[in-house]
Amino acid sequence: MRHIDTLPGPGWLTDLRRAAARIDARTALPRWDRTDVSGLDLSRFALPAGGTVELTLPPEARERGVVAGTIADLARDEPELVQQHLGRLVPAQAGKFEARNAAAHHGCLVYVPDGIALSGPVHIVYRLGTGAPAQFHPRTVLALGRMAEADVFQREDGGPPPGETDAGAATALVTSVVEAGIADGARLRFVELQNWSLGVRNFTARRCELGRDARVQWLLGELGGGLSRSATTSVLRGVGAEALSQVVFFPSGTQHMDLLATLEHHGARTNGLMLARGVLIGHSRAIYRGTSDIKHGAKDSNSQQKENTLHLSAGVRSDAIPALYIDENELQAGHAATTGKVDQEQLFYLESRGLTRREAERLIVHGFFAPLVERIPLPPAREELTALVDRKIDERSAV
Amino acid sequence: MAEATAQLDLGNEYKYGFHDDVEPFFKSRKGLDREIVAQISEMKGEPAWMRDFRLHALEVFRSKELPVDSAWGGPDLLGLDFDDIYYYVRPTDKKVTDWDEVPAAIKNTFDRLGIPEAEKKFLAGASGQYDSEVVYHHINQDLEKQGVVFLDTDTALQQHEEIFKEYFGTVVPPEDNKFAALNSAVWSGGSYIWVPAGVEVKIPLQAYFRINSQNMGQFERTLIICEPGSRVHYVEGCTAPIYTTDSLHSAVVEVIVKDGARCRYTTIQNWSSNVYNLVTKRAVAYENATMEWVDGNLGSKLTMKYPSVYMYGRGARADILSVAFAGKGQHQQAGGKAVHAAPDTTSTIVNKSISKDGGKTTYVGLVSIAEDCPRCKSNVKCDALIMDDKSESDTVPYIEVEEDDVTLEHEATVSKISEDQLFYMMSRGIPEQQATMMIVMGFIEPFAKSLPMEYAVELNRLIEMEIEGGLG
Repeated sequence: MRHIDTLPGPGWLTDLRRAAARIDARTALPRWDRTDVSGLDLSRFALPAGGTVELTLPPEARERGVVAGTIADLARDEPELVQQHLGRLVPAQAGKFEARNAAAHHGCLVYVPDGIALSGPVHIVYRLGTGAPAQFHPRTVLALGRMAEADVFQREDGGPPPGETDAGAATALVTSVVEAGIADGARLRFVELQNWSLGVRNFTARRCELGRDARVQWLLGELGGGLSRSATTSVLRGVGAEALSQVVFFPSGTQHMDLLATLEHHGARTNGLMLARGVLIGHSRAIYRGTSDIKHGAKDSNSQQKENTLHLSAGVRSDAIPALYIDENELQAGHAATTGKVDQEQLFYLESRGLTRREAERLIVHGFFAPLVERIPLPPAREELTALVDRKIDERSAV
Repeated sequence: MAEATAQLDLGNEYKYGFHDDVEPFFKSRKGLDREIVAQISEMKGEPAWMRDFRLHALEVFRSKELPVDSAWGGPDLLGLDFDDIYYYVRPTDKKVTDWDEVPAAIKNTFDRLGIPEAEKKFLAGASGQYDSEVVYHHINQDLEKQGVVFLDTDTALQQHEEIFKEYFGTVVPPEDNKFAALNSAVWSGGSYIWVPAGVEVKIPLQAYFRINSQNMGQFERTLIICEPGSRVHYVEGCTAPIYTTDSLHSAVVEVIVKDGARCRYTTIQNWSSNVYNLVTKRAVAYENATMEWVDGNLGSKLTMKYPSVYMYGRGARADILSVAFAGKGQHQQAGGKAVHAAPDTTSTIVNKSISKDGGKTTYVGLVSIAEDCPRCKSNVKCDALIMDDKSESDTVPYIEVEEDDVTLEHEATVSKISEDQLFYMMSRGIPEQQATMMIVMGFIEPFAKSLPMEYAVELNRLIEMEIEGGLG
């Protein structure tokens, strides 16, 4: 518990962290189907937790009443704001990793007042050094007032390489939390590129709650981590709320990715769409679980999901578990999933035009991801994602 | 018992919920232990290997946990009290092959289900299972000439022990799950079919199953072996009388479809609303073989049933077509599993579910494509119809792919009966109830179409009753 006291923030935040640490101590590791973490020895990741946090606001944001900073600083300067939003959507009680994050987080909070539309994206970067063993618990807390609008571009990268003695062994633990309260009529577009090193075991929980006619877009790129589990939940509380939850994933080598997207429809006339596109190479493994959970009273709601997977190597495995839980009869819901391999005719055509096989595959992968990449509203984020995908294809070529 | 039946709050009247007073010839005491299992085996005059198999299965049953899947909030099985069940009841002391010799009370039950008429009208052997033992079993002369064996499973063990022993328990071993272990320990009755190579059985083989004694679990065991190039269609229909306490039905069905053979297994199940129906149905299909499961689930308190096909030979094919209807207080958890373990294999799963009056349907399915099985194709389609705002529907398909050269598609939709459709039909002078019925029948048409005619008629009638019950 002593490491908690070394973390930044006023006394009341330390008390909160201590309470979470007690929950962490008495909470067992989760038992997940298909992603076995029962053997994970959390005690071998060195304390105190740490990494770097960068937060950049668009110009004139503060002048317009935006309150933003590290959670520790704001806990001192704006305690009421932090108390109101920190841990509200992802509490320490949610699970082992959520408790660990609540105890030892480093992160930022951004509050956008009613009616304010930011002029550009908020940039957040969480970076972990290459030293091992390590742990890092980034947390982003977002609060959008009524009719507010914001774009957030969050990057997560760095971390140690996989352990040398035991190939693929975890040398760093990352738990990442995003909680976003989106009030009536507000709009959030959250772009994230997750590119932790292969030495990282990453456990992410993102959750937003939407008021009346509020909108969220999750636009996620999952590329890194030796083992990465990320759960993204949108709670459509208000009437007419809308959510798009999309993820592009690209595991290679021996990476294991377990991705969950959940739409919880509470309000009437809520609208949700989950999209996932994944390419698998090497001996990687991916699990995608998309869940539409339509609660009683969510009348005339619509919840859809589509998942497409492309296998580029013979040794990969992908599982799709698209679930519908329906307590309401006045609704539309559906899902569709496909898995396939690269079309040999496409390859042949491209090769006959003088492209090498690798270049041809590259074109096909980019073409496959394009429908989702095009939805990302920030050109730099699109370019960065494209570059990361390219790098993965190059790494494969090097093998 | 008649008084007890009358006290039930049934919501809607269950047509087949009558009860005949049959004196069981032998009834084991309640509960389950080595002594009872050994006694069952002894009563049946079984060979020692079967007794040992049963006793081993009992150990497996005791060592296994109840299946609980927290991931999708699996149904509650804790209401089951394994010590409060009669595991073996034998209703009469001899088997009969002539209808006239069937005891009057049993005959009465079958009469009310329409069995003798069916028997007159069509078909080969209708084997009615009354409680644990088959009491009526008739084999058509033509089948005998073709060399087809169609017996109750107990008789088959006595008469065809060699082939029986070769296949029994190979598709669903006791270790598979807790209820398969339970069935393996106390199984009784069921059908045994062996079709010689190249023989095509042109008429569907049929059996009726019923649970009769109060608190009696029914553990029938069916084994079907299709030799290379053969064809057979087996049909089972289930109805059960209503009781005041929970009954358990836990069957195991094993089907072996060898090279180029084709088997279709059709079930219409209509257990009364207090029955736990937990069934393991599995087929293995070899080169170019086709296995078709056609599965209609009405009634029962809780059904958990996922007909499976393991495709072990190149070019094998699996077709799983199921319909579930859940009314008040019912949970239908039906699905299908297709395991592609050979190249060029194809599977199709179509599931249609209807929930009404607070009923719940769950589709749980699996498509698994193993490594080094190129050119596999799978198509899964799940459609749910929710009739009112008290009812629920869950869909949880699992898709696992280890092979890159596959074509896999999955689709699911959930809808309600459209006001527009109803309005249109009512404006044409069709009463609401009839219009609803027409829409529901249209929804499950692909299923109804695949049934033999007389079963399609029965299904129609059963669904009509379900809908009337709710709208009345």
